[in-house]
Amino acid sequence: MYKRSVVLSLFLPAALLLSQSVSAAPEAGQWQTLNVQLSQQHVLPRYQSLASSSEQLKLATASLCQQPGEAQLNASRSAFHQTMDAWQGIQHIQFGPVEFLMRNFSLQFWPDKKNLTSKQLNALLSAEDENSLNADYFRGASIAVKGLPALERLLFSDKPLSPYGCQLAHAIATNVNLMSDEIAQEWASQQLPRINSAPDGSDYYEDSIEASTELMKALVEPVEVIRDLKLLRPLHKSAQKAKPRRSESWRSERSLRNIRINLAALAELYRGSDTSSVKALLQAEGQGALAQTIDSHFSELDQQLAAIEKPLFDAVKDPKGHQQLRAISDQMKILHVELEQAMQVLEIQLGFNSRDGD
Amino acid sequence: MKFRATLLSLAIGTTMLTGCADQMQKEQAAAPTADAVLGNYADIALATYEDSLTTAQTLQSTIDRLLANPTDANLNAAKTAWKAARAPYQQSEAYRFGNAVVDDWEGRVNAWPLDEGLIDYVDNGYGTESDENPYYTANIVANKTLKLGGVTVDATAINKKLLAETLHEIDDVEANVATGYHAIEFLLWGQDLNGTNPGAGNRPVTDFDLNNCTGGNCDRRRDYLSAATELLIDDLQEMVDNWKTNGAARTDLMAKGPQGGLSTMLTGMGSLAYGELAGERTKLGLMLHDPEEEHDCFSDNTHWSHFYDAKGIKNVYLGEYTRVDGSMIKGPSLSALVQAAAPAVDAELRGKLEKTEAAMQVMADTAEAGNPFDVLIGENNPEGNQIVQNAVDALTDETKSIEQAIVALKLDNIELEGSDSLDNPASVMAE
Repeated sequence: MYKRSVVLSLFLPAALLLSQSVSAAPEAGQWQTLNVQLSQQHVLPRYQSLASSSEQLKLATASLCQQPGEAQLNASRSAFHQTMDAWQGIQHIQFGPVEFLMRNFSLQFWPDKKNLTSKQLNALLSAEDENSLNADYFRGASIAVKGLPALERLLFSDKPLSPYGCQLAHAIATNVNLMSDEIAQEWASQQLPRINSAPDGSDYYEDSIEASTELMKALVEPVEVIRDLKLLRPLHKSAQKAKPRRSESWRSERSLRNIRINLAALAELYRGSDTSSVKALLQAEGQGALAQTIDSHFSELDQQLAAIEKPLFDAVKDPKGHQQLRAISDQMKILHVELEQAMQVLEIQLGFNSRDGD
Repeated sequence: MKFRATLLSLAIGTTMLTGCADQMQKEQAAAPTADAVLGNYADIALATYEDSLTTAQTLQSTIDRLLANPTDANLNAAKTAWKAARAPYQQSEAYRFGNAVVDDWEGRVNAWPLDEGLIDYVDNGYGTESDENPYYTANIVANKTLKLGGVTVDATAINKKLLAETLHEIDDVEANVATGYHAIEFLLWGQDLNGTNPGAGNRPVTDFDLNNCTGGNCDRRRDYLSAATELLIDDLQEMVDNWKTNGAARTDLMAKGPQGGLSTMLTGMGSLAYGELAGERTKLGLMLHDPEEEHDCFSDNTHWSHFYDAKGIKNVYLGEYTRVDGSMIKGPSLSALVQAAAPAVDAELRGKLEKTEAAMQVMADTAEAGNPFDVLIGENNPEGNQIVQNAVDALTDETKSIEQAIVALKLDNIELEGSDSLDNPASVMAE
C-alpha cells in the first residue's frame, strides 16, 4: 500500500472533481498574492524563530561545557526543545535556502535506517579529535553527525556527557545556529525577491505558479510523510509488534509534540490570512465543502493527538493508544487525499517527489 | 542551487530538433500504437530477466567451483561473475516501480541497504545495537540458535527455507536482508574496511576452506552461500516466467489498457531516476560520506550498478535493449509516441537521457581508474563529490522531462490499476 500511494499521487483521478468545477483555475495574480503573503507571514517568521532559538541553544551548551551541572544540563535540554519546536514548525518547507548546501538534511537526518548517527557519533567520541569541533569540519561533515538528532543523543543520553562530548554538542549546536541564521537571512535577501519577481519570469521562477507549486508541495506532501515515517513506522503491524525506537525524537520524549507542531504549521499554511489563502482559492472555485472539510480535518487531528495520554514511545505498544494512533493515521490518509483533490481543482501539478521509489 | 529551466536547455533541445529533423519526420509519420509499444516493453523485460538468469547461472557455477576448491583464483572468478550478473539485472530496475508483480518480488533479490551483521561476522566499528534492528548483529553463520525478544530461531540447518522464510526481513526490518545479490556480495567480498579510501571488501578465501578455516564456521558460511545463490536462481526464473506470454506481469500490464500501460512505463522511469537512484542511492551517500552508503558497498561495483540503472531507464524510453550476447532488441518505442505528440519534449528527453549516461560514464571511468564511489563521496573530496553530484543533477533534470512526457501524452490524469481505491479511501485503509 505504501509503495502504491506513490503512483497514485501522480495520477489522481480528476473526473469526480472536474465535473464540479464552476470556474477556471485561479489566475496567476491570485497565486502571486498568496505566494507573497505566505512567504512573509508564514515562512520567514518561522525561520527567524529557528535562528533565535538555536542561538539560545548555542549559548546554553557553551555554559554547560564551562560549568557542567544539572541546572546547566536542564537549560540545554530546554533550549533543545525550543529549537526543535521551531524546526518542526518549518520542516515542511523543502525548497529555497534550506535546500542549499543540504541544510535540510544537515539540520535533521532522520529516519536513520542504517544506524549511521550512532556509528559515526561513536567514532567521533572515541577519537576525541579537536579538529572535529570547528566550523570547517562541520561544513563538510556527514549529515548524520551535524544536526539535531546527533545533538539529542548527546544531551538526552543516560550516560554522563564527557568534556569532549559536551564540546561536540556545543559544536553541533553552533552549526545548527549557523545554518538557521543563513537560511533566515537568505530567505529575506534572496528568496523573497525571487518570489516577488516571479510574475516577470526569471532564471529561478518562470512564473508565479511555479513558486506556488513549491508552496503547495510543502502543504500536501508532508501529510503523507508524517503519516508514513512518524506514525506508521513505529506503529508497525500491531501493539505487540510495534517499534517504539523508530519514533522521531523518542530520546527527548517529544514524538507527538513534533507531529502536532507539524500539523499546526500545515494548517496555518492552508488557512493563510484574511486576505489570501489556499482555502479561499478553493472556495472561489466552487469547492466550499471541500475547503471546509480540509479545515475541519486539521482541527480534528489536533484534538485526536491531544487525547493521546502517553508518549508515542509507550502509546504504540499500548492497545488503546495503538488503536487511537491508527485512527489518526487513517484520518491523515483522508486529509492527504483531500489535499490532492484540492490541488487538482487548483490545477497544481505536484509531479514526482523525492520519496517516489522508496 | 536548484536547477531551473533555462535558455541553455531550450537551446540544446532546438539543436537536436534541427539535427534529426528528417529522421523525426519519418518516425513521426509511423507513430506506433500504444499496444505495440507495450508489447515491445514487455519483450524487453523478458529478455532482460532472461539475461539476468543466465548470468546468475554462470555465477552459480563459479561458486560451485569455489566451494569445491577454495583458491584465490576461484574466488576472483566468482566475483567477476557476480559483477557480470549485475549488468543485465540493474537494467531491469526500470520495470520495478509501477509493475506490482516486480515491486513485490524485488525485495527478495536486490534488497538494500542491509545490516550485514545479521549474516556473518563484522568489524567492531559496525557497532553492537541499532534503534531500528534487534537482529543487527545476529550473525547467523556463527549461531545455530537465536533468542531475541521472546522469539527463538532454529538455524541449525542453513538452507533456502531458513533464508527466505525465516531470516529475510525478520522482525519486519527491511535491513535484515538474508537473500539476493547483496547477501551473496557480502559473502564473496566481506566488509569493505577501507573507509572512504580506495579498496573493496577483502574476505580471505580461507573463510570457505573446511581444512584451513578462517573466520570460524566455514561449513555454515559455505551452506549460506550455496543456499543464497540457489534462491537467486529460483527467484529470477520466477520473474522470467512472469514476462512470458500469459505471465502475471505481462497480463497485468496489458490489462491496464493503453494509457494505463504507458503510465506504468513512465512511472517506472521517473520513480527510479529521481527518488530511488538520484536520491536514496546517490545523493544520500554524498551527504553521509559513509563508505557503506553505496549500492554495491562490499564489491565497490556501485558505479556500474548506477550506470546500468540509468541505461535501463533509457532502454524503456527508446524501446531497445542490447543483450549480454551483443544482439539487440529494438521495437516500437515510447519515444516515437512522444515525438508524434510533442517533438520538442521527445528531443529534450532524449538529450537528457544521453546527458545522464555521459555523467554516469564519467563516474564509472573515475571509479575504474582507482577512485570508486565510496572514495568519490568521501569528506574532503570536493572533486569526487562534484562528479557524483553531476550524476544526481542529470537524473533530476531528466525527471522533469519525464514529467513533461507524461503531460504530452495526456497521462497526468490517468487512473492506474489499484488507484480506484483512492475514490474510496476507507477500503485502502482496511487493507
